[in-house]
Amino acid sequence: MDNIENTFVKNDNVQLEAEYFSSNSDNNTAVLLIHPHPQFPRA
Amino acid sequence: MHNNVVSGIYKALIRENISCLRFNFRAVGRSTGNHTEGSGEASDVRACVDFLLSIKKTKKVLLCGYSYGAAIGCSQVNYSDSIVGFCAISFPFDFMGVEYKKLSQSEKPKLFIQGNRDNIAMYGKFESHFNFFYEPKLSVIIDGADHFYGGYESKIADEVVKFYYSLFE
Repeated sequence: MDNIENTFVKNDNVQLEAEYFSSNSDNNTAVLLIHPHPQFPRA
Repeated sequence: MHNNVVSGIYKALIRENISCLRFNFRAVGRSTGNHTEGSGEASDVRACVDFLLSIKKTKKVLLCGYSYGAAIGCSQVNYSDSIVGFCAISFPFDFMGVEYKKLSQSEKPKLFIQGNRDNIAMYGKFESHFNFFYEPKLSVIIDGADHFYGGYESKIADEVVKFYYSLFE
């Protein structure tokens, strides 16, 4: 999909692997999705 | 980056043409850095909010976290006035300690999604935790779901999308 961008978010000296989907609706809103941690209990 | 619950929401948001960002915490996947037991991970959430506001020129951000991501993510709800509220899926109140619950307190809109067979974010204690939070707030109980929501991904995604539209339409 053209409007999906694989990127990195910079946090001081840390680079966070990220994926951003850009809507063409121009309503200037976004949802930030926050994962569980792999070290947290898993199925 | 490929958790079943988060991926289900991500795909639903794309179908609805809603901008969204997902990321790996530090030391996960191709993200650099080291795990920090929470403080660095909370700063990762703030960095992603800043990325949306500064780089992508987003004006309003809805946080949506699952499990550990709910505790860490929702604890940053008051970081910016541009954060309009949060969705918390299986917030592990008892597993993570009371600090994240207190930091997640807010007068902004809040949606809590909880499986009634979840024994990690324990369903039996959910109501008392939910009652702690100020209005406005909503809860959705997923009948039959444990902490991992296998088979319930689309139901969760539908609830998140519905909550998004309740805020932005």
